[in-house]
This record gives sequence, C-alpha cells and structure tokens, in this order.
Amino acid sequence: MSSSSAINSSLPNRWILAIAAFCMQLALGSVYAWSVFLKPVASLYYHVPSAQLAAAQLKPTNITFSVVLVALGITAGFGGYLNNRFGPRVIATAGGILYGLGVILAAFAAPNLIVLYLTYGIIGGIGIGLGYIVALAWKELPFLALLAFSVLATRGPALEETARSLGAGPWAVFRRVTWPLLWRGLLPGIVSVFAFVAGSYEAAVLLAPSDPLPLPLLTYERYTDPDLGRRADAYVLVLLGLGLAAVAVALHEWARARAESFDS
Amino acid sequence: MSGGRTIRIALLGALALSTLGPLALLAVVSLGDRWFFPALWPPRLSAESWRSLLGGRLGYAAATSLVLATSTGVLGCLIALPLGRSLARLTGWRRTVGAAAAFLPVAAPPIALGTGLQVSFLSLGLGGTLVGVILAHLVPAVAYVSLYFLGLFLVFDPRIEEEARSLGAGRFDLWRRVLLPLLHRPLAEGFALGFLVSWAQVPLTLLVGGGAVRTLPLEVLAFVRAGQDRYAATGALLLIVPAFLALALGLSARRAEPAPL
Repeated sequence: MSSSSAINSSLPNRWILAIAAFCMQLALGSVYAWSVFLKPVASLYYHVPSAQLAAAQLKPTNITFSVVLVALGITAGFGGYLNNRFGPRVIATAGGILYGLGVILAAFAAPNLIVLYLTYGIIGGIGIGLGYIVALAWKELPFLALLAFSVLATRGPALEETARSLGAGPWAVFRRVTWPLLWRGLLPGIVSVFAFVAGSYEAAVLLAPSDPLPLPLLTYERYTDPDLGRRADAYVLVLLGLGLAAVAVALHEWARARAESFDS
Repeated sequence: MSGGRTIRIALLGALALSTLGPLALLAVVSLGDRWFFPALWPPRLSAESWRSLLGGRLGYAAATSLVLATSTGVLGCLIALPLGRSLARLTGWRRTVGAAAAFLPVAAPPIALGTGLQVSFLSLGLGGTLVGVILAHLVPAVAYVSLYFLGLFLVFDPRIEEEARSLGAGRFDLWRRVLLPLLHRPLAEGFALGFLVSWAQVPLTLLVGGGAVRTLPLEVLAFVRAGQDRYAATGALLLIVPAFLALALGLSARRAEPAPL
C-alpha cells in the first residue's frame, strides 16, 4: 500500500495527464481540417471567389499540407528522443506554442506562398510533430498500460521498497528502479503491437490510403493479379513480410529474455 | 480529493462515450433507411438488415463463422494445451527457440501465411472448403493459444503433478482428476482466444476459402465496399458480440472465484 502511494506521489495526477493528452490530440487533429481552409486560403492568393478556383490554382496552395506533414513526420522522428531528454511537459508546451505561432503567422503570409509554407507548413508542422509524440503515447495507452500494470504489480513494489530503504528519493526510485523495470517489461508488448499493426489486413483495407498501398494490401493485390508474371512480386512481398515478422520475433525474444534475466 | 473524484467520473464518462458512442451510431446506421448527408437522423427506420439474419446472406455468413470459430477454438485448445505444457518444460535456449517458433505465426502477416497455405491446400484439394479454412485458421489460433498456455504452465506448480503421480495416479488419471479440473477456466479462456482469432480472420479465409466460404467479416467488408451501410453496420455489431460475451463471462468468472493458478 505504502509503496504504491509513494510511486504516485512522485508523478503528476494521471487523470489530469490523460485529459491533457486527450485535449491535445483533439487540437492536433485540426491539421486534417486543411481541406476546409484550402479554398478560402487559395482565394486570398488568386483574388478569385473560392467557388471559381480552378484545380491548377489549388495545387500550389495545397503543397502547404505536404510541407506540414513532412515537417510533422521529421519532427516526430526526433520527438521521442526530445521527449525523453526534456520531458513531455516541455515538449507538449513547445509543440502547442509552435503550432499556434504557425497558424497565427500564416494569417500574414498572403500574397507570398513561400511564407505560407514556412509558417503554417514548417513552424506549424514542427509543433504538431512534437505534440503527436505525446498524443500517440496516449493512443496506445490502454494495451501498454495493462502490460505496465502487470509488470509493476509483480516486480515493482519489493524492489522499490528496497531502493527507498537504501536512501533513494522518489525521482531516483523512478529513474533507477521503476523505469528500467517498466521498459524491459513493455518492450515485448511494443514489438507485438508493431508486428500486429504492420501485418493487419482488415483495418488497412477499410482505412488506409490507396496510394501507397500498405504491405498486406499490396501483397494481396499482386497475388490475385490476373497477370501471373506479377505473382513473383507477391512472393517477394511475402518474404519481406515474413522477414519483418522474424526480426520482430527475434527482438521480442531478446527483449523477453532480457526482462526475465533482469527479474531474477 | 473530491476534485479528483469529479475528474475521474468525467474521464470514465468520456471513456464510456468513446467506446459506446460508435456502437450506438452503428445501431442507428443498421436501422436507418435512405440516410444521407446532411440529415442528422434517418428519415425512416427499417429492420430489413436485421431480418436478413434469418436466412439472408448475413445469417448464412454468421452461421458459417460460428461453425468455423467453434471448431477452431476446440481444436486449437486440444493442440495448444499439450504444446504449451511441453514448451514450458523446456529450459534455456530450447524454450527460447520453441517460444519464438510459436510466436512466428502470430507476428507474421496473415496474408503471408495465406499465400503459402493456399498453394499447398489447393494441391491437397482443400482449397475453397470449410475444412481447409478451419485448418488455415488453426495456424494462428494454435500459436496464440499455445503462447497463452506456455505463460500459464510457467507459473504452474509442477509439484501438484509430482504429488499426484507419487500417490499412484497414471497419465490418464493425472489429466482427468488433477489437471483438467484445475485447468477448467484456462481452457475456457483458451477456447475464447482461439474462437476470436478465427471469428475475426479475414485474409486467411479470403485466400484459402477462395470466395466459396463466406464468413461474417468477409460479408461486412463486401457490404462496406458496396456502400450498403445498413448491412455492414448490422454485421459489424454482430462481429462485436462474441468479444463482449467473452469479456463479460471472463470478468464475472474472475469476480466469482480467485484464479486457481
């Protein structure tokens, strides 16, 4: 009892964290509202009512969305590292400020398209990228929280108690005991989630974009192609999928063995 | 503390809404007739898609799925129980390799398994048959369930078996009077796992069934693609039922008695 309350006191209220992440995700979703902005924004640049805009006129303005997504993707790639280094509070705040700044500065961008790319595209995209890392962590929360619970419930309390009795403060207990236990315990679950999502067919067939096709859909398409010559492609893709699965299995077993050796 | 309590209730409410909201929407879609954007509510309600469960395409598909999933659940348990037990008895690198072998069909994309199985099943004359599809579903199902039993037998106290044997129980008696009564609930959970793996399976059914075996998830996908939202929603709601049932039964069983192992 005392050990669990001690862990809780070293962390902010979890419910507030979850609500904050939920609100953040709602706000970040506004990036996909770009199609709503597209015509009004384009009409600012071409001085034409939005109903009369030609497709060719929409194209340059629409590049902004690609720029946003590229900036988002690249930033999110580094976001995990930054998140570990500076903590979610700093990263989420920086994300919010940058996204807001991008949107506000974009209001002054017309008539220069490059300025729009730089403001809404790059600055806003970096902001969303930083925010998404924190929000994605929330999205995968239920499954991984269940795993974290079982990891900590079976191994945590005794070790934490020992660390505390040896004089470790709450932060040291979290950094030296709870966290190492947790990530080793969670790694197999993370690998499983990756393998499952990468190979999932039915979710991809309903929700994924048609270009580029996800691996399972492309495999099926090539496998059922009337042109038998293209079946060879399917077998290459199958081998690729199996190779990925084998790597995931090896990683999973390595992570599990590591977690077990850490345990004993 | 009361502030925390309010937040907790609000959050649980939001969680319930995000879980049950889409289901409620599916229920309305399954009943809405000629419901198009931007109407907020269907102009007419019709139970036509639900009636098709009695003898229509959906009903036939649901029955096929039920047969497939039940067979896969039972056979999967029968194969996976001894498999998981043997894996748990291995030590060192042998167990690692064994567990990895059991994990591979879980991690491998089902479409990759399906392409390989289809070729061999066609040559055996099993392509497009119910038996072929059951055998194909067994590949991931046995993997999932044997991993479940592996985890179970790793914490199972071997002294129980040793004690029964030292008291004179033979292999048959050991299973009938000691292991099976102890494994009553894990077996039910293993069956539910195998059932659900088969119940939601799309790519393996698609490839090995070759369009001749029409299961519920296949029909739902077909209805979604054809824009038949009402039928798709009815099928989707039906797809959720076994998962809900398994969860509810599992929770009530857990509440009724502590875990035996």
